Amino acid sequence: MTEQTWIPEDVDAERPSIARIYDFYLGGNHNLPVDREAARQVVEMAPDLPEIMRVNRAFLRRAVRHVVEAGISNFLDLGSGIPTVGNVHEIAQAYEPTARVVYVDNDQVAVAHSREILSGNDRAMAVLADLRDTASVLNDPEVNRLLLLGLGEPLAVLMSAVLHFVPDDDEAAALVATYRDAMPSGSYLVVSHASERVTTAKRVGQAADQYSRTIAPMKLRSLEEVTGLLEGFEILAPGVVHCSQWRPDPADGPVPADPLPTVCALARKP
Amino acid sequence: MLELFPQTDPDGQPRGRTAAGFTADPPAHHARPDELGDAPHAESVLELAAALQRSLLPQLPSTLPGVEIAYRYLPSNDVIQVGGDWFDAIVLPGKRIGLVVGDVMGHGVASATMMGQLRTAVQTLAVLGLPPQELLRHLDDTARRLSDTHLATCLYAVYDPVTRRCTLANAGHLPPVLARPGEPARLLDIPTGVPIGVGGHAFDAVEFDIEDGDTLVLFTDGLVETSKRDFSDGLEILRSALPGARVPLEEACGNVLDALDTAPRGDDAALLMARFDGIPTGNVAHWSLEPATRAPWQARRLVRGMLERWELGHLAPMAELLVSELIGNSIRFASRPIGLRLLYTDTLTCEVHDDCHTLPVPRTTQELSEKGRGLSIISALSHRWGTNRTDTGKIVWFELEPGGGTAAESTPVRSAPVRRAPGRTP
Repeated sequence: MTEQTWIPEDVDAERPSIARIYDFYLGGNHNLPVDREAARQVVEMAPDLPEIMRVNRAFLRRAVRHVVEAGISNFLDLGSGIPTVGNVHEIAQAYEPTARVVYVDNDQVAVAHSREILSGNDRAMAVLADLRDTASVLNDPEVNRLLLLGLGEPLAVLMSAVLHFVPDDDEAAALVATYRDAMPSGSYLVVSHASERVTTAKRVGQAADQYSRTIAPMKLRSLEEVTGLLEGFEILAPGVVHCSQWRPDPADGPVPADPLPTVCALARKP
Repeated sequence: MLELFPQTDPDGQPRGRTAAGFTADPPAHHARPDELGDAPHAESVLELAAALQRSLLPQLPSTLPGVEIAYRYLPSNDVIQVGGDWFDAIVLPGKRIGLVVGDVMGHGVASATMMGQLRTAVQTLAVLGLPPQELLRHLDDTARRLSDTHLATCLYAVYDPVTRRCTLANAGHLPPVLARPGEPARLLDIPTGVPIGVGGHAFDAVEFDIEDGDTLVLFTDGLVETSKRDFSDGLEILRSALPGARVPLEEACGNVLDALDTAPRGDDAALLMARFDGIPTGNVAHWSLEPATRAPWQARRLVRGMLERWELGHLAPMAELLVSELIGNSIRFASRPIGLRLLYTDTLTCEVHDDCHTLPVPRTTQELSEKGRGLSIISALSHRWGTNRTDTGKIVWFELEPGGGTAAESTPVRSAPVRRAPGRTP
């Protein structure tokens, strides 16, 4: 099968991967039958999911643009998946050509393919690491090579649609706090998180169950719960809101009255 | 083993590695004019060839950054068969290690001389940082200019102790054996290539990962092939003689020779073993800087921070000064990000990589000129420095001694690529 030539040898093609499922939802072509099947099952439970992903990406674009305009040019994207569609380096480098982005993922396929996409880009790269292993991320030679952490200058850390894969609230809060403590003053944190919507709570909950069962344990969090993860940060206006409501841009379409269950925030370390 | 070289000559004197090698021979071998009959003349020529060959072979240090070396050279028992085997281990820019083994076909003074010339050519080409396949191509060109009668086989491998990759190209030589602890030693499957001196054929390079503790074994046919056994039997003995676990490399080298029992040898034999341990990742720092006016400032801060972590704070003022000189030069011409790399091994190596292909040259500056002094400063204040071309541009590098000395202060002076101006040492 020609489509599998990009798969590293030691990847288990029988197990679905979050990164490849995201890639499927976003219209990428770096996913396997097992991923597509898992993705279809989730979509059956939550037909909104592809749209949620799209809304999430649109938020990411607006947030990255804001951060670049605030003078930040170094980005650490944790749990990035495969940077196929609407990726951070394209957004950031469109506004600031010298912006630098390091993608971190623990999925070998995601990293292998990211490296292929990023080859030839001097200012973006992918690193294989688990975002929960903060020390190995922050001490990674390639992270330091590109983001110059040793200079102690502010950077932006992105946790886009990843914290809901850390189901334990205390662990999630501790994880955010560890990065916060390592971030120089004036740094930004971009967060988006799967949430519940009153009208479809049951179905989203079922989808989360499906995710938890087949792919990775998942925890939906409310606006208040996400706010609770951001202790020690100054949450910028409009606060923790649904993604479609965060500084909406007419280019992203009208803001729906009943927003999709994905919430977000842009926070700054004082 | 008494005949092992390089060790000592029969008088117990260390064998010299340069022209001194001639005089290290017993005085009886010097033919006086009144003794020049045919037979003594022939004998003295053979002695001369043997002495010449010994003097052309290197004495290698047993440890290089990230690499341990052990080697043996065994001359032929038949003095008529003085051979053209050679080997080398060369520290390349970026602390990469070039490993060479070669064999000039034929025997006698002419072969030994050719061997010496080829060894010098490999040395010269290697430190330019040429990839193995290009080095062999240039070596082939050189060999054909030097002689149209000599052919040689040559294997050239480059080990990078930072990336832990080995790149290898072959000109008709026997492939090396890779010994990995816990696994049977195996002959590497590499392209054979055509011998040096044939011309007209491209060389291919193969690249593979090295694990810390791996040993690469390079050798010539005289080691495995004797009148008593063929090549494949010899190779089998060599492979099974290599230890499955980590033992001192000198011991492993001796064991291989004992197992192969090459005496009496009709041909000379060379064995070069290199065990790779790499440079610890914590001793390497690498940054990518935008070619902007603040880059020298960034470089100074990053270098200072890292040297303090390495407890080399005493080198920081010097390293910062020289690095910012190099970065300051790069930002004038580079269009893509500038690479800055520090390697902490036996020395502190600082490299600046940029995408400008023009190599800088030290200029004679007007006394009051503010420009054009960068390389003079680096030349005067560093232990060694140099420049190398890369696929994407160039590297300018310098080394500082952790002890703090410059080349002029420490002995012996290592091969500084550029002579320093007298009186410039602080």
